[in-house]
Amino acid sequence: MFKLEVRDLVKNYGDLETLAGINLKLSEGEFVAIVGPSGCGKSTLFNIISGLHQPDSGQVYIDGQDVTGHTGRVSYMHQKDLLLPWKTILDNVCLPLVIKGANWREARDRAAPYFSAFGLAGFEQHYPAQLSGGMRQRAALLRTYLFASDIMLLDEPFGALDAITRRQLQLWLLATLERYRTSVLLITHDVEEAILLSDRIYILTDRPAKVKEEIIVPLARPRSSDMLTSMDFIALKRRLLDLL
Amino acid sequence: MLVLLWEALVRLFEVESWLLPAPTEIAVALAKDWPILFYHMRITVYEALIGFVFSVVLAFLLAGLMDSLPLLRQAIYPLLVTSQTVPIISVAPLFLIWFGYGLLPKVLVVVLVCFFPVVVSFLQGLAVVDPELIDLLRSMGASRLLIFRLAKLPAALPTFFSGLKIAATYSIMGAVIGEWLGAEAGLGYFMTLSQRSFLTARLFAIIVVITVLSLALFKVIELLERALTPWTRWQEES
Repeated sequence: MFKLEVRDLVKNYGDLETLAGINLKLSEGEFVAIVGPSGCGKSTLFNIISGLHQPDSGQVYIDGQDVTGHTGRVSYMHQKDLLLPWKTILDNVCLPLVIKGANWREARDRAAPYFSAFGLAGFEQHYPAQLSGGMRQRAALLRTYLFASDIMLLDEPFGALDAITRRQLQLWLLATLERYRTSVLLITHDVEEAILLSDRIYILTDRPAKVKEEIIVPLARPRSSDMLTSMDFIALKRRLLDLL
Repeated sequence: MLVLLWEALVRLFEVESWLLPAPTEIAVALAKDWPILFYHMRITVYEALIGFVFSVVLAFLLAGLMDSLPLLRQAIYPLLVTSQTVPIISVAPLFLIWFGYGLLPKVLVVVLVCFFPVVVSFLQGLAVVDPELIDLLRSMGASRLLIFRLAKLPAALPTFFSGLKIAATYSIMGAVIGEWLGAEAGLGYFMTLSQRSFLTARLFAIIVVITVLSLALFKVIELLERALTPWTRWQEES
């Protein structure tokens, strides 16, 4: 059984065909990237998986259960951190727990231990505007993790950051995920990011989107920044760029 | 500086004090008539505050309702704008006919001037929330009420407070206008009285009181805003 399975997803907005039968599988603890041209409907895919939008046809299964059109099971993280400016970092991160019915005190007690692992120790009582972009994205990731620790959808999570911060966060994410066996689905158009982070890569076609190719990343884990210049990495990067 | 110039010119040209009193004369009037000024001031403040609080509560409820029901918003919004084009001075005498000389007509005038800026600012504030943030909260399974409390309401607060500040300064003016048209007490009533007796220095003293009151109310709202929206200080810096 797969952690997450997407079967024959079709979605049109009026005359605009967006998804033309998408099939995806995500195993327990696996990191899968989705790469495709911009505007090809990747975000629509996440909106459907998270239950915000109904597909025209097709299903979303999580742990074998049909969750098509139901919110509250998986959460996603955006390019924008979407932290509430009026809440402290601790309370922002607690938000999913509170939405699920915990009271603030319980939620804070449960969230606080994660702060050091997410590089946020000492910033619990700061407001988002006081933090750097990289730290805000880490807070957003922790919030996503606390919502559902088994599956996370990341929609270009580092897309708005500068190149150096982006690379730092990618490496940090690699190290952090070694500790938490979370299944991750990542949308990106950064080919290097996809190879460095994931076990498998789906390449989507232009709109209407379909899976064009599925590629297994042959790099061993744990990964390191040295691999960025290895022969395997470069060969795979060339192949991906040719496909896009 | 301006006050000094005023004082000098009045003395130099020996302007009649019923026409334009010197600042010193105004200060004397203010001090001498303070007990009676204070009595009328209390009544005006009372009217203004009742009207102000009432309009804020009403505006808050209406804006909340209009924001959650777009159809209602479309229906009521033009009506709200139209209501603002009717000059208050022309409606106020009607209140006098309908509701007499008591408290009610004054409070109504205050509501009439305060309500609009608060509703409009609050509505605008509620609409500025990032739709993707709403989507995120929805994807986590948050109810509409929770989304309103967690996201929309705090996001609207800064805009809401700008409307509130405008309304606060209007509220004293509204009460004074209400009293002009017919009252037995209050600063507006005291003004009409002083005007009829050509007590110009006292008239100026009343103006000073009204100005100070409006400023004080403005300041109170500003302090309240700082206390309730602590995060905005950080946003200005970044």
